[in-house]
Amino acid sequence: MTTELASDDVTQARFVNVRYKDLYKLLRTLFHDPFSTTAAIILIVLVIIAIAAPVLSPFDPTAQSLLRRLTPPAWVEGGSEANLLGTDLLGRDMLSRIIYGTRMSLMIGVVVVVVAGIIGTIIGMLAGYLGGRFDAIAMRFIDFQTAIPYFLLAMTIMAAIGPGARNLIIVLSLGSWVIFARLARGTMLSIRHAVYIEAARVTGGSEYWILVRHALPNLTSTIVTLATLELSRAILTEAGLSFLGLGVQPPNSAWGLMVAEGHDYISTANWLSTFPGLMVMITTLSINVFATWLRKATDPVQRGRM
Amino acid sequence: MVSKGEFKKKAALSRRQFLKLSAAGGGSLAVSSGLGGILLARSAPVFAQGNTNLVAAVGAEPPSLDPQAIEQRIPQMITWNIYEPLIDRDDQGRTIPWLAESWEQIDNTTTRFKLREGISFHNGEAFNADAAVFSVNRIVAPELASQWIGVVGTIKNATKVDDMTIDIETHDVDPILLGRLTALAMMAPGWTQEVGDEVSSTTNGTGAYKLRNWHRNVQVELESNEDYWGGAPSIKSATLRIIGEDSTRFQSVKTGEIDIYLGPLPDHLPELPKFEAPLAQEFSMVRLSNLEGSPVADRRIRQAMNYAVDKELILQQLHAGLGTVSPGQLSAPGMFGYNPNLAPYPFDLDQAKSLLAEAGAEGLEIDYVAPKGRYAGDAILNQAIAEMLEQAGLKVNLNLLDPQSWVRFGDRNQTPVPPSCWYLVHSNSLFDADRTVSSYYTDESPFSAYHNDEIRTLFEAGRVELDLAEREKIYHRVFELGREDPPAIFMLQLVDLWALTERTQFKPRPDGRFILRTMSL
Amino acid sequence: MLRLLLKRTVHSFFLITAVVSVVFLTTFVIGDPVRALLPAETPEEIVEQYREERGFNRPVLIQYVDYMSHAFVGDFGDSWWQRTPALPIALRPLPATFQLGIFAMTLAISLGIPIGVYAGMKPGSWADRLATVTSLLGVSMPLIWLCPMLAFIFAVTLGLLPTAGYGSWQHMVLPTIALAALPLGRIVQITRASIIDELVKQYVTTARAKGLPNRRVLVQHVLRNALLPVITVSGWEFVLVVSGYTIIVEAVFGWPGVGWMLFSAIRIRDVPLLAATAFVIAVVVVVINFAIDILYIIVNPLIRYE
Repeated sequence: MTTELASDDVTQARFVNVRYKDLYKLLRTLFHDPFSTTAAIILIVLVIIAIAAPVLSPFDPTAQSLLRRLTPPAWVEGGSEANLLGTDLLGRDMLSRIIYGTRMSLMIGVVVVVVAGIIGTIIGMLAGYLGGRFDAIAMRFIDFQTAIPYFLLAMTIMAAIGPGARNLIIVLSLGSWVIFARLARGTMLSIRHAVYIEAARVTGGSEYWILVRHALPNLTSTIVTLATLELSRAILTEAGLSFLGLGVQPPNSAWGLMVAEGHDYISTANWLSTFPGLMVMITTLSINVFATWLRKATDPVQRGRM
Repeated sequence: MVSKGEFKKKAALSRRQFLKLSAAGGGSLAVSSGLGGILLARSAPVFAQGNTNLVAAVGAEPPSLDPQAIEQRIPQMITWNIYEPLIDRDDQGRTIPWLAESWEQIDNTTTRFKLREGISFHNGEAFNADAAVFSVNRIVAPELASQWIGVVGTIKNATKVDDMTIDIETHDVDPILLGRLTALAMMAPGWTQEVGDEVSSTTNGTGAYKLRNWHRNVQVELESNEDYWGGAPSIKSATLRIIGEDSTRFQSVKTGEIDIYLGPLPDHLPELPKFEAPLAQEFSMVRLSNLEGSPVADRRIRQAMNYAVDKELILQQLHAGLGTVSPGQLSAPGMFGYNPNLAPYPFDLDQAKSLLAEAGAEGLEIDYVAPKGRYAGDAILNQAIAEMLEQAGLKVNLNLLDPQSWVRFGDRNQTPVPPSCWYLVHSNSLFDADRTVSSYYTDESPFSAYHNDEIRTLFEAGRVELDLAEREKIYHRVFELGREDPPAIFMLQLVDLWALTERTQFKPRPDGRFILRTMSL
Repeated sequence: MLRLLLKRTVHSFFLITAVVSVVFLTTFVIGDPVRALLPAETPEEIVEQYREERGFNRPVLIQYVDYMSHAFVGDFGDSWWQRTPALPIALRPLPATFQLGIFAMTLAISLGIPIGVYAGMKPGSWADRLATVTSLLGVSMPLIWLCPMLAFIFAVTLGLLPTAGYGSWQHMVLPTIALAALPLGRIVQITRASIIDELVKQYVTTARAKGLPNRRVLVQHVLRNALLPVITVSGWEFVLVVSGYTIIVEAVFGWPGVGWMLFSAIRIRDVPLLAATAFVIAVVVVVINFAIDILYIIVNPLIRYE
């Protein structure tokens, strides 16, 4: 869900032409804000972890060792340095599982956002541009879908079609595209209005080309901000579904799954749930902090206040 | 923009506004906490303790209290205190007369039972031949779709001979009729017909306890039947609280809030005040398919799989050492047909690998279907077993499914081509090999994926053999053959884990029934 | 106003229909409904007979119409698990969810609005910092981490409260806090943003320029206008609480509410119960939306300035 007020989508669109000089200025504003910088760094680290998981992970995340099960983290009595964050119910190394879990969550999140973003943006742009019947139907459908209690349906559908990463991506994308569509449509409507006026004055020149030239740059900044927020929402939903057993399945590593496995052991082996849960928290928090900065930075009105 | 003075004024006022808002907020908070408290108070369960009230915890709401319809563990914890069978078991697991005093065999398929006199149901109806006949016929009737049908299905019907005598007829010769009757609860005909659908939410039995109250999703309350024919029990009342979370049950028994619960995590045992762990008639196993076309049809592969799994390690690490490794058969001492001469498959990875090599099965890909959430720790256990099989060189496609889907894969009616491996815990409440063999050593049951001609012949003979010694020899041979041509990876004989407080005196029966009148505080 | 309510009614009807339809569709994927009703050992002929008798052999469309027409009068068939009508079973845990939900929303609103208002009126103050942190934490908070953490800190380590369960006010504390976390974050965020937006509006500057003597009156109007979107968002959050957050919170804390019932129904594949529970939740969502609309209309006409 976007953090915008539910006011007129049209007025939310801002006219921004992003050029390289602006990009540099953008980064400068980032460095002035320590929280956002930290968030950005954390995100970069997470991406690195996700990509380089096989290299960084000390053990194979599926390697079991029944004799070493439920070892506490290294700094607790009974822990060992071999398993920094301890081992789980089957003796698998927690740190390795968390690293691969990063890969899993980020991969799912990014794919969902890309798929939903592309589909949603295209449909939204079409709706805004074409107007008329198509727009009316699309809007009704979008309004309608946003009203449906989504987590409930996601659970039911996942239970029916079978859990697993691939189905998860499909279901999450289905929930996410409407957000992109609504924003894209709103931006399109405002641009189209302005462009129409402009085009009326300018002789010749393909309307399409003008739209593209103006639409894309305007959309990019808002869509990117929205994408980061949707990424955080996708990761949260995936973690929730995996926790309930309807998402990523064992023996794969996913944070939600790990939290569920540690559920009965809160009093005796809390590291099973705490660390993966913390990862989700850090990830979504960093994304949201970053997204807040991104929104302020790409919004010329707000930028003045920075 | 705004002058300093104005700014200050604004701030001062917004502080007042802030306080006002907080007051309003605090007020509504107080009101709703009051409301919440009232709502909760109305539904608060009874925590009463004292020397005659036992509090137990169960993990889920019983779906029904109809003792003949539902065969699940939790409802049985309640119903076997209220209802009683014709035959019961003693603390060694042997059948003993109960509501039936004596019996004699009339012919091959008919047994005549003499009923105990002077017993009545809680509502006053007399327990007599009418009631017994009604109860037997009710449970085998197709309309009821009883979950007990697998146990009592051999019974054809019951007929009245006189007021306190009945005849029970079975479809075929049935050497274990008595054992089956321990599962058949006696119900009152008048009352059952009168209450109709309410039979699942109200009770009327001959037992030592009556249902006092069923507070849905919260608890079931029982009170003692002071007129019980066997004498009033020492525990005067019992509450079975529904606590879904294991961690809560665990904490509650530590603080004494509850006295007993079934199925603590093995990892929690060291911290429990007390626990009982009698061996149960439950055998965990990975059913293997040797049917035509199965990747593991070659018996050497199945033997290899038995060598590949380190059952001792699993027993120690995942079951806290409680239980025993199955000695190459799905049977145990105390069960009829158990072969004492068979040894368990030792853990021998080299032997496993060489057998696989012999059969040309290195790198063989197999399907392994297991449940998650059906048995305690099942997901973890099966991941461990699958990993061990991989160590031996097999490629295991592990599929952890929800209980409904998992059952489907084990039922050949729904999955004609069974998976190579299917995990389950075989529960043999009849203490007799017949059920085990028919289910898993022959292809008679839809839940079997195994065929062996020699065993089949022996099994048919055992079915109709009435001479006990002969019958035993037959089953010995069956299990001997079965060890060499394994229908499964023989895993463990499990225990029934009960967590208790110090004050609770409970000697669990081998059949695992929760019988309050045998307990004391 | 009537038109709005009519529109809302139609919308609600479609929403409930959609939810129940999705569940119906999943029945066909989840597996053989007949087999689920009978004990495992039932021979094939009896299964077939049962199938014929109960009408499972009819074409899908006819079954769908039949199903929906029953659903709208509350007849979902018998629960496969308890063998008694599904809807009463689904309704029973509703009060428990409301206990948590209402309490949590009250907590979120009574904390969130004051913080948000103060932060909006005094940017840069301690309240503003608190507001930013609260809202960021609130919207990024993974319940699968918050719930076990609360249990671990307050129940296991400090021993003040039970880890899970139902029955006394102590059991209610942690789930309520967990449930209130996300709404709190959102409400703080929206209140603050709304106040800020209001304060820059024309009438405020005008009023100030006029040197309006009774500052309180001005603040009251700002407040009233600013609180409108807060009402809407609070309503949405309440919907999310009962249709989403509560599922996880009830699962972790073993609180027997509708979320837990939904999850149980999914877990044991009891389709009638699942449909009935989804229906109940959908109806609750609809009712809350109605209430928000009405509340909004009531509050709206009281605005004098705009």
